[in-house]
Amino acid sequence: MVYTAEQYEQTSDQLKLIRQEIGRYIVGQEDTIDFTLYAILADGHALLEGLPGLGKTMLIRSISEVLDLSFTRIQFTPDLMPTDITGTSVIERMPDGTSHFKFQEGPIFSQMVLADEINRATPKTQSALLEAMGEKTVTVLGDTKQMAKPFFVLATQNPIEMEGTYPLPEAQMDRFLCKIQVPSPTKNELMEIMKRTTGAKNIKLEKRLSANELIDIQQMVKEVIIADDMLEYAVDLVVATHPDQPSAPEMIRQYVEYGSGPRGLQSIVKLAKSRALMNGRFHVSIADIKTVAKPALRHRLLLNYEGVATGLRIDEVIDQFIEVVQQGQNV
Amino acid sequence: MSNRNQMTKVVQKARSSMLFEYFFKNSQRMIAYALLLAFVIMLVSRFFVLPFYKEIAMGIAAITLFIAAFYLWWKRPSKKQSLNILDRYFPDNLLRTVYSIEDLESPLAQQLVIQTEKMASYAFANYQKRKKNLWHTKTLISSVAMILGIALLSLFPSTAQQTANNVKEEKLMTAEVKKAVKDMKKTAKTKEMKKAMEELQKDLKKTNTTEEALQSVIKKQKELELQKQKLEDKKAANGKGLSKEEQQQLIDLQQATASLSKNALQTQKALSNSGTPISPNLQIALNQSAQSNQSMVQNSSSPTQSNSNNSSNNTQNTAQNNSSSSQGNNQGSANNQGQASGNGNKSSSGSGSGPSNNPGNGSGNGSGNGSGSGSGYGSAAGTGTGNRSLVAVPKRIGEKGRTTADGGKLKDGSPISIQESNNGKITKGSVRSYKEVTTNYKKSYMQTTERLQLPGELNQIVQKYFSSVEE
Repeated sequence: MVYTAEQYEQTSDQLKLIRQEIGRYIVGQEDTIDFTLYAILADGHALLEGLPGLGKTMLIRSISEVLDLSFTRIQFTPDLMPTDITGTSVIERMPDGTSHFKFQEGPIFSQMVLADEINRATPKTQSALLEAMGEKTVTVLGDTKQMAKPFFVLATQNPIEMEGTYPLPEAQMDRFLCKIQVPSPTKNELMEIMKRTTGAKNIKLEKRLSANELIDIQQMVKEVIIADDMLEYAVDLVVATHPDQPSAPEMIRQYVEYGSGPRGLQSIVKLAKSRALMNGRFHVSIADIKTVAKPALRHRLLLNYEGVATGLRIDEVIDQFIEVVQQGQNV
Repeated sequence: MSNRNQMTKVVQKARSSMLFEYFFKNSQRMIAYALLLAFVIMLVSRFFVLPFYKEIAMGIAAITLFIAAFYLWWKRPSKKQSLNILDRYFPDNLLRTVYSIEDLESPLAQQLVIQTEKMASYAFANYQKRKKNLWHTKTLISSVAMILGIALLSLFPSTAQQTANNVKEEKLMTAEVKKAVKDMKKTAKTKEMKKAMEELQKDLKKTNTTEEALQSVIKKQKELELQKQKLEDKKAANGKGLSKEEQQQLIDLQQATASLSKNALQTQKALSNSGTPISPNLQIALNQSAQSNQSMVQNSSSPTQSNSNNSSNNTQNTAQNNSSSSQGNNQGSANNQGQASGNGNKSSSGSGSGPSNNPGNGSGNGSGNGSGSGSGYGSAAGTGTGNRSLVAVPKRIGEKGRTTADGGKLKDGSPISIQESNNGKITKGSVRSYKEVTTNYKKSYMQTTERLQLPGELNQIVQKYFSSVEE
């Protein structure tokens, strides 16, 4: 389907309304909301990381309400089993006395799945999400079932209280389009949160977008133009994350064990396109790529022992190599 | 369908402007570097003798500028870089996007091109408005300071620089001599002459100073003169004359000796102008060279010319020599006794040392004006046309204030003055000391060598020989 510039403009306006609607309930957290929306528009999954009580779950709930998507929440615990997520076949007794197996869908069969505190479940359970997130199918007892459309997994994890947790394996981390850091609210935001949550006023969010419209917008995102120059810049960024590459900055060579793979580049481009559309454009700019680079790459880089021992944060590393690659562009 | 034509013009304009700024800004820096190098060389040359230091400074500055110009051209902003810079004046990298879209025909791409074209003129205007910083004030100030510094260093040369200038002049002289020899080699028609010039070229290559070069030239000239003399003798002895080849060789020899002599004199003149002293022996050899050259020219032009003319010409030459060698070349002045008396007081310092060398010299000349000095080596004496009464008598002989002259009849003089020697008068049984014999032998030999007009170098060898014998 061919989209026009006017359609892009209209969609952008629509998305701005959605953004405003979410903002009616969620105070602050602009970047968190934006990146979550970018991930949704790019048909990807997002991992939100932040301290307890920052509104991660509430944010995802709000988004699902505004977007009019079916929503389920799975609280990940150590004793959670894969079938608790995917569902299982149960014996159903029919009125005629016969009985047969019936597949009981698990909570994953929703359009928007909130995997709360995903790192508290065992790797076996975490891996139940792998197929659903990657191929958007679930196979139970040899029977493969398609997921609903659109399908998003928005997971949260707590960076503290690491005891009794199971850090997500790299393969699973890689399936998240972006990892969003949820910051603590500012003083003014806290004031506003208190006013909204401790008062008698009950905020009811309006549905702004249907599932079909969302699928259509996802298609529009794919049509956004990314020129070769911009694509080259994104590629340069990803290449620069590899410590064995000659073009890699000194910091990467010193502190990074593994860099990002092609999926990281895909994430950058998809998120950049979403950002362009949200901003009313149908072409990707350098600024789009730079903005989305951090959430797209931060969970794909692995620091080496020296990096960890130095207490280096992965965001600092990304900031540095973005700067280096940017300088190269401006020769 | 829009196809970026309008944008291309804007990009081209921006690129031209960018290139101008790039070259203008960077050339200031490059000029400053070149000046700095020149300044450093000028400064260093104040402490070390660096011949051609000005030329080196200028050359290095010029080379630096040339390399810098090449480097700037090599590193000039590419079209893509220009595009990237201009793109900063468009929102959201529109220009770069439009220039790197693969499929320009899609509706969205066309829309982008239209948007970009609309903004192009505005973006270019903003680009032109930006602060350009064309002048590097610090660089310019330092450049001016360095120009002043170089000017000052040139105006007030140090001792080392003055020495370097002298060395440079000498080198130039040597180069001129070499060039002249090269030309002579080219113009030489006989193989012998070409070979001789080639040898001279080789000799000149080995020389380090102008004086050495001059020595080589004089030596070669003498050799050639000998060859010439042989041919002339042969011509005179043989009634049939010379073969064609020999005639050609004779012409070549005449030209070569004249040319070498001329060159040697010019070089010597240049050396005396620059205040570079030359060794007395070389001075003598030069005088002889000049003299023989003059006589050759005159002989060839009018063989019946009188001796008095000859001697007066020589006087002019020696006058020059005396003025330049007035630093007290006593050895040389011994040979120039006649010159000293005729040419005034400048060479008087050295004149007294060698009267004994010239018993025969004055014999042909004299004439009261003493001008025949230069010919005192014997050439004039040989003609024998002089008045016997013109023998210069030492003042100690005769009455005070007068000279006693031999007023004998004029005779046809023999061409060579007869030198009597006592060396042969040995009676049987008489014993003479070795020292006495050696002294007499030396005396007579020195007289002979003087008559033969040996080159300065050979004279030295003879003197060294006797010195070693006497020891």
